[in-house]
Amino acid sequence: MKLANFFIPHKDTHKKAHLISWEALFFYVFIFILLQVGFSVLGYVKPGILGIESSINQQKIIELTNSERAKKGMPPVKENSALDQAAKLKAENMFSENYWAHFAPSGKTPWDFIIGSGYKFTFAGENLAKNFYTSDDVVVAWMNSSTHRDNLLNSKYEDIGIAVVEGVLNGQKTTLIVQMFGTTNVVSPTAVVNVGNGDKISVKAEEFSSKPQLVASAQSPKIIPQVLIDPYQVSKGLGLGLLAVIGTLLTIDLIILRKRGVFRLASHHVAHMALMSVTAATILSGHIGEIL
Amino acid sequence: MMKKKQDILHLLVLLAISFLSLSLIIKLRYSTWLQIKVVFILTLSYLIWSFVYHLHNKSLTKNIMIEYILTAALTLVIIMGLVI
Repeated sequence: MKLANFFIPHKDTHKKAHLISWEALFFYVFIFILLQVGFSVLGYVKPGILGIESSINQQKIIELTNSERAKKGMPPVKENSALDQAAKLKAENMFSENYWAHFAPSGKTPWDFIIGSGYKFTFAGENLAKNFYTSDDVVVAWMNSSTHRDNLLNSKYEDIGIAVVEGVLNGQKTTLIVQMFGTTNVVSPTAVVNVGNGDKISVKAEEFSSKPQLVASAQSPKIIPQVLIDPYQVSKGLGLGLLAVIGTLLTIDLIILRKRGVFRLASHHVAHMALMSVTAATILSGHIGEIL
Repeated sequence: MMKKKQDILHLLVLLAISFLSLSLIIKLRYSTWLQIKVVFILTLSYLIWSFVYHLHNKSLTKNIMIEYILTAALTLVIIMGLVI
């Protein structure tokens, strides 16, 4: 088996290069599935080894939030220690109950944390984000979602609380960002919470007296292992690399066949290249971070 | 001549689907899940296109379809690998 036949069509039979044959494609699919299974197993066996290292700053998120509000002529929101506490309690609860949602599997609601931290709101809101690399990315993602933007640019809010907490979620090191907004001014007959997915939920008056006061975890912070592998960057790098190699070999194949003036009954290279180009664009433009 | 015209028409359909998907991907760049949905729909369209194209050209063989299916599967596993 000649080395050249891996990259260019066979000079006599004009058969496709081995690296773009269907057998090779099958091998690539198998390797990528194996990689994903490997990540899942590693996350289960050694929690925290996989994940991303973020550089997100609480104060920067408040600055960026107020900068977006200023663009719309809105007054800034002021940092409130009780809302900071509520956001921190919410993030810690997501790690301890291992969930990614506005409502905990145990039934805890966003306002449980707000009321529990001693903030007597009449109108409040919550935005969540996870696994972003920078503070700017978080705020840009919230601004690009209509429901999160409504929260960020709501003129009723006066106070803000932010928590940026690292922990292990689903076996991977994760950075959770909880943004809570609120006001204690009377803006509606009943207290309302506006969660990031667009739901507006009325909170009954009795909940303010029945909810227990929550206190921040007195435990010493858990030691989170150093991330050794960023699965997103590994998958992104390998995916883009493979698409580039296949795209190049398909182009070489087209050029060589044209030069040789031969016709081969085969699949359409242009179709493969179109699909792969859109896939590459998705990889390049996509973000790992999620908002809720 | 007629065959060439039909080939060009098939290619134009393919390129139109790809450009539409590409513009949607760029527009939805802050929503990973919506981008993934677009890639899924594009992949399905690519498979349907390949079937119709080769059926029309009387070049539909098992090996050719396997290659399309594997190319589609490869793009999907690469994209799904980005959701951690």
